[in-house]
Amino acid sequence: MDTQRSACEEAVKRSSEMLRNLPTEDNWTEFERAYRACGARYYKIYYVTGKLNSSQDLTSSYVELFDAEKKLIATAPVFKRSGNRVEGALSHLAGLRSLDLAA
Amino acid sequence: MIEQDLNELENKSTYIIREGKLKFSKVAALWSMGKDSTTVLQLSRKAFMGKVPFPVIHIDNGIDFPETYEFRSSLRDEWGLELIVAKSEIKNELSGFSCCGENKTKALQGVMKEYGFEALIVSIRRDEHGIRAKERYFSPRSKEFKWDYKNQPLELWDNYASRLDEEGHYRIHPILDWNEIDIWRYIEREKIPVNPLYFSESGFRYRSLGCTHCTVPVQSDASNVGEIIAELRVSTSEEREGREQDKEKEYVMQKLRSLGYM
Repeated sequence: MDTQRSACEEAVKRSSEMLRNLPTEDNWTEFERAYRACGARYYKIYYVTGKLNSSQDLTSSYVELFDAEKKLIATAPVFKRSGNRVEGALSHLAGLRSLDLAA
Repeated sequence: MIEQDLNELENKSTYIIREGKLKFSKVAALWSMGKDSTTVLQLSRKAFMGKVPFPVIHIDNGIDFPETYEFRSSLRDEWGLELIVAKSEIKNELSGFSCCGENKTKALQGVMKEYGFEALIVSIRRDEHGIRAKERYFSPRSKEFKWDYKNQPLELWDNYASRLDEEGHYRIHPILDWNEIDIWRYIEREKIPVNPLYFSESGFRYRSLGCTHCTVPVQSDASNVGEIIAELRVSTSEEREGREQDKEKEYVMQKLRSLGYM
Protein backbone atom coordinates (compact mmCIF):
# COMPACT_ATOMS: atom_id res chain seq x y z
CA MET A 1 0.00 0.00 0.00
CA ASP A 2 2.80 2.42 0.97
CA THR A 3 4.70 1.38 -2.15
CA GLN A 4 1.65 1.96 -4.31
CA ARG A 5 1.02 5.32 -2.69
CA SER A 6 4.58 6.56 -3.14
CA ALA A 7 4.54 5.35 -6.77
CA CYS A 8 1.40 7.31 -7.50
CA GLU A 9 2.73 10.38 -5.66
CA GLU A 10 5.87 10.14 -7.80
CA ALA A 11 3.75 9.96 -10.94
CA VAL A 12 1.78 13.04 -9.88
CA LYS A 13 4.94 14.93 -9.03
CA ARG A 14 6.55 14.04 -12.36
CA SER A 15 3.50 14.91 -14.44
CA SER A 16 2.88 18.20 -12.60
CA GLU A 17 6.50 19.23 -13.23
CA MET A 18 6.08 18.47 -16.91
CA LEU A 19 2.85 20.42 -16.90
CA ARG A 20 4.41 23.47 -15.25
CA ASN A 21 7.20 23.43 -17.83
CA LEU A 22 4.94 22.82 -20.81
CA PRO A 23 1.18 23.19 -20.20
CA THR A 24 -0.06 21.48 -23.35
CA GLU A 25 -3.25 19.48 -23.77
CA ASP A 26 -1.28 16.21 -23.75
CA ASN A 27 0.51 17.07 -20.53
CA TRP A 28 -2.77 18.08 -18.92
CA THR A 29 -4.26 14.72 -19.92
CA GLU A 30 -1.30 12.92 -18.37
CA PHE A 31 -1.50 14.99 -15.18
CA GLU A 32 -5.23 14.35 -14.95
CA ARG A 33 -4.69 10.60 -15.22
CA ALA A 34 -2.03 10.74 -12.51
CA TYR A 35 -3.90 12.83 -9.96
CA ARG A 36 -7.12 10.82 -10.35
CA ALA A 37 -5.19 7.59 -9.78
CA CYS A 38 -3.69 9.16 -6.67
CA GLY A 39 -7.06 10.02 -5.11
CA ALA A 40 -7.15 13.81 -5.47
CA ARG A 41 -10.38 15.17 -4.01
CA TYR A 42 -10.08 18.96 -3.55
CA TYR A 43 -8.65 21.99 -5.31
CA LYS A 44 -7.74 25.52 -4.30
CA ILE A 45 -7.01 28.20 -6.89
CA TYR A 46 -4.71 31.16 -6.39
CA TYR A 47 -5.15 34.10 -8.75
CA VAL A 48 -2.10 36.23 -8.17
CA THR A 49 -3.51 39.50 -9.47
CA GLY A 50 -6.73 41.32 -8.66
CA LYS A 51 -7.90 41.66 -12.24
CA LEU A 52 -7.79 39.05 -14.98
CA ASN A 53 -7.04 41.38 -17.84
CA SER A 54 -4.35 39.61 -19.73
CA SER A 55 -3.01 36.17 -20.44
CA GLN A 56 -0.10 37.01 -18.17
CA ASP A 57 -2.45 37.28 -15.21
CA LEU A 58 -3.61 33.76 -16.01
CA THR A 59 -0.17 32.28 -16.53
CA SER A 60 0.96 33.65 -13.15
CA SER A 61 -1.85 31.88 -11.28
CA TYR A 62 -1.90 28.30 -10.02
CA VAL A 63 -3.99 25.60 -8.40
CA GLU A 64 -3.24 23.19 -5.55
CA LEU A 65 -4.73 19.70 -5.36
CA PHE A 66 -5.43 17.84 -2.12
CA ASP A 67 -6.42 14.31 -1.22
CA ALA A 68 -9.35 13.21 0.96
CA GLU A 69 -7.33 13.98 4.11
CA LYS A 70 -6.71 17.47 2.69
CA LYS A 71 -3.03 16.76 2.24
CA LEU A 72 -1.38 18.67 -0.61
CA ILE A 73 -0.47 16.34 -3.46
CA ALA A 74 0.25 18.61 -6.43
CA THR A 75 0.53 22.15 -7.73
CA ALA A 76 -0.39 22.97 -11.32
CA PRO A 77 -0.96 25.95 -13.60
CA VAL A 78 -4.52 26.99 -14.43
CA PHE A 79 -3.96 27.41 -18.15
CA LYS A 80 -2.86 25.55 -21.22
CA ARG A 81 -1.20 26.62 -24.42
CA SER A 82 -2.38 25.70 -27.85
CA GLY A 83 -0.15 27.32 -30.45
CA ASN A 84 -0.35 31.03 -29.66
CA ARG A 85 -3.53 30.71 -27.66
CA VAL A 86 -3.66 30.75 -23.89
CA GLU A 87 -6.79 29.15 -22.45
CA GLY A 88 -8.02 28.30 -19.01
CA ALA A 89 -7.66 24.60 -18.21
CA LEU A 90 -9.93 24.06 -15.22
CA SER A 91 -12.13 21.61 -17.13
CA HIS A 92 -9.32 19.13 -16.45
CA LEU A 93 -10.21 19.32 -12.77
CA ALA A 94 -13.86 18.29 -13.27
CA GLY A 95 -14.93 16.04 -10.42
CA LEU A 96 -12.82 17.78 -7.77
CA ARG A 97 -14.43 19.95 -5.11
CA SER A 98 -13.40 23.34 -3.80
CA LEU A 99 -11.36 23.09 -0.60
CA ASP A 100 -12.78 26.45 0.51
CA LEU A 101 -16.32 25.12 0.56
CA ALA A 102 -15.60 21.66 1.91
CA ALA A 103 -16.97 20.66 5.29
CA MET B 1 -39.37 39.01 -2.37
CA ILE B 2 -42.67 38.48 -4.19
CA GLU B 3 -43.54 34.85 -4.98
CA GLN B 4 -45.41 34.65 -8.25
CA ASP B 5 -47.73 31.95 -9.56
CA LEU B 6 -45.44 29.26 -10.98
CA ASN B 7 -48.03 27.90 -13.41
CA GLU B 8 -48.53 31.35 -14.94
CA LEU B 9 -44.80 31.90 -15.20
CA GLU B 10 -44.27 28.47 -16.75
CA ASN B 11 -47.09 28.97 -19.24
CA LYS B 12 -45.76 32.29 -20.43
CA SER B 13 -42.16 31.07 -20.65
CA THR B 14 -43.01 27.93 -22.60
CA TYR B 15 -45.11 30.06 -24.95
CA ILE B 16 -42.14 32.36 -25.57
CA ILE B 17 -39.80 29.42 -26.19
CA ARG B 18 -42.23 27.81 -28.63
CA GLU B 19 -42.73 31.16 -30.42
CA GLY B 20 -38.97 31.48 -30.77
CA LYS B 21 -38.64 27.98 -32.23
CA LEU B 22 -41.51 28.72 -34.61
CA LYS B 23 -40.29 32.11 -35.84
CA PHE B 24 -36.63 31.27 -36.34
CA SER B 25 -35.30 28.25 -38.18
CA LYS B 26 -31.95 28.24 -36.39
CA VAL B 27 -32.18 28.72 -32.63
CA ALA B 28 -29.80 27.89 -29.82
CA ALA B 29 -29.80 28.46 -26.07
CA LEU B 30 -26.95 29.82 -23.99
CA TRP B 31 -26.17 27.60 -21.04
CA SER B 32 -23.85 28.62 -18.22
CA MET B 33 -24.81 25.67 -16.00
CA GLY B 34 -26.31 28.16 -13.55
CA LYS B 35 -29.75 27.83 -12.00
CA ASP B 36 -31.45 30.21 -14.46
CA SER B 37 -30.18 28.74 -17.72
CA THR B 38 -30.76 25.20 -16.43
CA THR B 39 -34.31 26.22 -15.53
CA VAL B 40 -34.78 27.50 -19.09
CA LEU B 41 -33.63 24.13 -20.43
CA GLN B 42 -36.23 22.45 -18.22
CA LEU B 43 -38.87 24.87 -19.55
CA SER B 44 -37.74 23.93 -23.07
CA ARG B 45 -38.25 20.25 -22.21
CA LYS B 46 -41.71 21.12 -20.96
CA ALA B 47 -42.43 23.02 -24.17
CA PHE B 48 -41.25 20.19 -26.43
CA MET B 49 -42.30 16.92 -24.80
CA GLY B 50 -39.24 16.16 -22.76
CA LYS B 51 -36.51 17.17 -25.19
CA VAL B 52 -34.46 20.31 -25.74
CA PRO B 53 -34.90 20.63 -29.52
CA PHE B 54 -32.00 22.98 -30.19
CA PRO B 55 -28.30 23.13 -29.40
CA VAL B 56 -27.08 24.61 -26.13
CA ILE B 57 -23.97 26.79 -26.16
CA HIS B 58 -21.50 27.10 -23.35
CA ILE B 59 -19.11 30.06 -23.76
CA ASP B 60 -16.11 28.67 -22.00
CA ASN B 61 -13.17 30.82 -20.90
CA GLY B 62 -11.59 27.75 -19.33
CA ILE B 63 -11.75 29.02 -15.75
CA ASP B 64 -15.22 28.01 -14.72
CA PHE B 65 -15.46 25.98 -11.53
CA PRO B 66 -14.49 22.30 -11.86
CA GLU B 67 -17.88 21.50 -10.31
CA THR B 68 -19.48 23.41 -13.19
CA TYR B 69 -17.64 21.33 -15.78
CA GLU B 70 -18.68 18.14 -13.96
CA PHE B 71 -22.30 19.33 -13.87
CA ARG B 72 -22.14 20.19 -17.58
CA SER B 73 -21.09 16.66 -18.49
CA SER B 74 -23.61 14.90 -16.27
CA LEU B 75 -26.64 16.96 -17.35
CA ARG B 76 -25.63 16.82 -21.00
CA ASP B 77 -25.71 13.04 -20.75
CA GLU B 78 -28.84 12.85 -18.60
CA TRP B 79 -30.92 15.17 -20.80
CA GLY B 80 -29.34 14.25 -24.14
CA LEU B 81 -28.29 17.83 -24.83
CA GLU B 82 -26.61 18.85 -28.06
CA LEU B 83 -23.77 20.82 -26.49
CA ILE B 84 -21.57 23.30 -28.35
CA VAL B 85 -18.59 24.61 -26.40
CA ALA B 86 -17.38 27.98 -27.70
CA LYS B 87 -13.93 28.57 -26.24
CA SER B 88 -12.95 32.13 -25.41
CA GLU B 89 -9.38 33.18 -25.02
CA ILE B 90 -8.17 35.48 -22.26
CA LYS B 91 -6.31 38.23 -24.04
CA ASN B 92 -4.99 41.63 -23.19
CA GLU B 93 -7.21 44.21 -21.63
CA LEU B 94 -9.14 46.41 -23.97
CA SER B 95 -12.27 47.46 -22.16
CA GLY B 96 -11.58 46.50 -18.58
CA PHE B 97 -13.89 43.56 -19.02
CA SER B 98 -11.79 41.59 -21.44
CA CYS B 99 -12.26 38.33 -19.60
CA CYS B 100 -16.05 38.29 -19.44
CA GLY B 101 -16.89 40.93 -22.03
CA GLU B 102 -14.92 41.30 -25.21
CA ASN B 103 -13.43 37.83 -25.30
CA LYS B 104 -16.67 35.99 -24.55
CA THR B 105 -18.55 38.14 -27.06
CA LYS B 106 -15.95 37.28 -29.70
CA ALA B 107 -16.35 33.59 -28.95
CA LEU B 108 -20.12 33.88 -29.25
CA GLN B 109 -19.83 35.79 -32.52
CA GLY B 110 -17.65 33.01 -33.85
CA VAL B 111 -20.10 30.25 -33.02
CA MET B 112 -23.08 32.26 -34.31
CA LYS B 113 -21.33 32.72 -37.63
CA GLU B 114 -20.19 29.10 -37.85
CA TYR B 115 -23.64 27.66 -37.20
CA GLY B 116 -25.77 30.49 -38.66
CA PHE B 117 -27.97 30.90 -35.59
CA GLU B 118 -30.72 33.51 -36.01
CA ALA B 119 -31.86 33.57 -32.41
CA LEU B 120 -30.39 32.89 -29.00
CA ILE B 121 -32.39 31.93 -25.95
CA VAL B 122 -30.80 33.77 -23.02
CA SER B 123 -31.73 33.33 -19.37
CA ILE B 124 -31.66 36.84 -18.00
CA ARG B 125 -34.20 38.20 -15.55
CA ARG B 126 -35.31 41.78 -15.07
CA ASP B 127 -34.79 41.70 -11.31
CA GLU B 128 -31.08 40.83 -11.61
CA HIS B 129 -29.82 44.21 -12.73
CA GLY B 130 -31.24 47.55 -13.78
CA ILE B 131 -29.84 47.17 -17.28
CA ARG B 132 -31.60 43.86 -17.84
CA ALA B 133 -34.87 45.43 -16.75
CA LYS B 134 -34.88 47.29 -20.08
CA GLU B 135 -34.87 44.15 -22.18
CA ARG B 136 -37.71 42.81 -24.32
CA TYR B 137 -38.81 39.17 -24.60
CA PHE B 138 -37.61 39.23 -28.24
CA SER B 139 -34.75 41.66 -28.40
CA PRO B 140 -33.01 42.42 -31.73
CA ARG B 141 -29.25 42.69 -32.06
CA SER B 142 -27.35 44.20 -34.97
CA LYS B 143 -24.78 42.38 -37.08
CA GLU B 144 -22.16 43.82 -34.71
CA PHE B 145 -24.11 42.43 -31.76
CA LYS B 146 -25.11 45.94 -30.72
CA TRP B 147 -28.27 46.56 -28.72
CA ASP B 148 -30.21 49.75 -29.46
CA TYR B 149 -31.86 50.03 -26.04
CA LYS B 150 -33.37 53.43 -26.93
CA ASN B 151 -35.22 52.05 -29.93
CA GLN B 152 -36.75 48.71 -28.94
CA PRO B 153 -39.73 47.01 -30.59
CA LEU B 154 -43.17 47.13 -29.01
CA GLU B 155 -44.45 43.93 -27.46
CA LEU B 156 -48.22 44.16 -27.35
CA TRP B 157 -50.67 41.34 -26.62
CA ASP B 158 -48.01 38.61 -26.81
CA ASN B 159 -46.94 39.63 -30.31
CA TYR B 160 -43.19 39.59 -30.59
CA ALA B 161 -40.96 41.17 -33.20
CA SER B 162 -39.00 38.73 -35.29
CA ARG B 163 -37.92 40.42 -38.49
CA LEU B 164 -34.21 40.04 -39.03
CA ASP B 165 -32.29 42.93 -40.58
CA GLU B 166 -28.79 42.97 -41.96
CA GLU B 167 -27.59 39.64 -40.63
CA GLY B 168 -28.44 40.51 -37.06
CA HIS B 169 -30.02 38.12 -34.61
CA TYR B 170 -32.59 38.04 -31.84
CA ARG B 171 -32.17 37.38 -28.16
CA ILE B 172 -35.15 35.54 -26.70
CA HIS B 173 -35.66 36.04 -22.97
CA PRO B 174 -38.24 33.56 -21.64
CA ILE B 175 -37.72 34.22 -17.90
CA LEU B 176 -37.60 38.02 -17.84
CA ASP B 177 -40.49 38.17 -15.39
CA TRP B 178 -39.20 35.57 -12.97
CA ASN B 179 -37.40 36.56 -9.81
CA GLU B 180 -34.78 34.66 -7.85
CA ILE B 181 -37.16 32.96 -5.43
CA ASP B 182 -39.46 31.89 -8.29
CA ILE B 183 -36.51 30.11 -9.90
CA TRP B 184 -35.73 28.18 -6.73
CA ARG B 185 -39.39 27.36 -6.09
CA TYR B 186 -39.62 26.02 -9.64
CA ILE B 187 -36.43 24.03 -9.19
CA GLU B 188 -37.94 22.52 -6.06
CA ARG B 189 -41.25 21.74 -7.73
CA GLU B 190 -39.73 20.25 -10.89
CA LYS B 191 -36.78 18.61 -9.10
CA ILE B 192 -34.36 20.22 -11.54
CA PRO B 193 -30.71 19.19 -11.02
CA VAL B 194 -28.53 22.14 -10.03
CA ASN B 195 -24.85 22.86 -9.68
CA PRO B 196 -23.72 21.74 -6.18
CA LEU B 197 -21.91 25.06 -5.67
CA TYR B 198 -25.24 26.62 -4.75
CA PHE B 199 -25.36 24.53 -1.57
CA SER B 200 -23.43 25.17 1.60
CA GLU B 201 -21.31 22.57 3.38
CA SER B 202 -19.16 24.80 5.53
CA GLY B 203 -20.98 28.08 6.04
CA PHE B 204 -20.44 29.44 2.52
CA ARG B 205 -22.11 28.91 -0.84
CA TYR B 206 -22.47 30.63 -4.19
CA ARG B 207 -25.69 32.54 -4.62
CA SER B 208 -24.86 33.55 -8.18
CA LEU B 209 -22.37 31.65 -10.34
CA GLY B 210 -19.74 33.06 -12.64
CA CYS B 211 -16.19 31.88 -13.17
CA THR B 212 -13.60 31.09 -10.51
CA HIS B 213 -11.91 34.45 -10.83
CA CYS B 214 -14.82 36.85 -10.50
CA THR B 215 -17.23 35.08 -8.18
CA VAL B 216 -17.01 34.98 -4.41
CA PRO B 217 -19.15 32.87 -2.08
CA VAL B 218 -21.59 34.37 0.41
CA GLN B 219 -22.10 33.38 4.02
CA SER B 220 -24.94 30.93 4.24
CA ASP B 221 -25.89 27.64 5.85
CA ALA B 222 -28.47 26.72 3.20
CA SER B 223 -27.54 23.18 2.16
CA ASN B 224 -30.54 22.28 0.00
CA VAL B 225 -33.20 23.91 -2.15
CA GLY B 226 -35.75 24.19 0.66
CA GLU B 227 -33.26 25.96 2.90
CA ILE B 228 -32.29 28.33 0.09
CA ILE B 229 -35.95 29.29 -0.38
CA ALA B 230 -36.37 29.85 3.36
CA GLU B 231 -33.24 31.99 3.38
CA LEU B 232 -34.39 34.09 0.43
CA ARG B 233 -37.70 34.81 2.15
CA VAL B 234 -35.86 36.80 4.80
CA SER B 235 -32.81 37.98 2.84
CA THR B 236 -32.15 41.68 2.30
CA SER B 237 -28.98 41.30 0.24
CA GLU B 238 -28.60 41.40 -3.54
CA GLU B 239 -28.40 38.16 -5.53
CA ARG B 240 -25.32 39.22 -7.49
CA GLU B 241 -23.33 40.77 -4.64
CA GLY B 242 -20.66 38.11 -5.17
CA ARG B 243 -20.12 38.99 -8.85
CA GLU B 244 -17.23 41.37 -9.55
CA GLN B 245 -18.46 42.49 -12.98
CA ASP B 246 -21.62 43.97 -11.46
CA LYS B 247 -19.71 46.31 -9.19
CA GLU B 248 -18.95 48.69 -12.01
CA LYS B 249 -21.16 51.73 -12.50
CA GLU B 250 -24.53 51.08 -14.11
CA TYR B 251 -23.67 53.47 -16.92
CA VAL B 252 -20.61 51.39 -17.79
CA MET B 253 -22.62 48.17 -17.75
CA GLN B 254 -25.26 49.68 -20.02
CA LYS B 255 -22.64 50.90 -22.44
CA LEU B 256 -20.98 47.51 -22.61
CA ARG B 257 -24.31 45.77 -23.11
CA SER B 258 -25.23 48.13 -25.93
CA LEU B 259 -21.93 47.28 -27.60
CA GLY B 260 -22.76 43.61 -27.55
CA TYR B 261 -21.44 42.37 -24.24
CA MET B 262 -23.91 39.86 -22.85
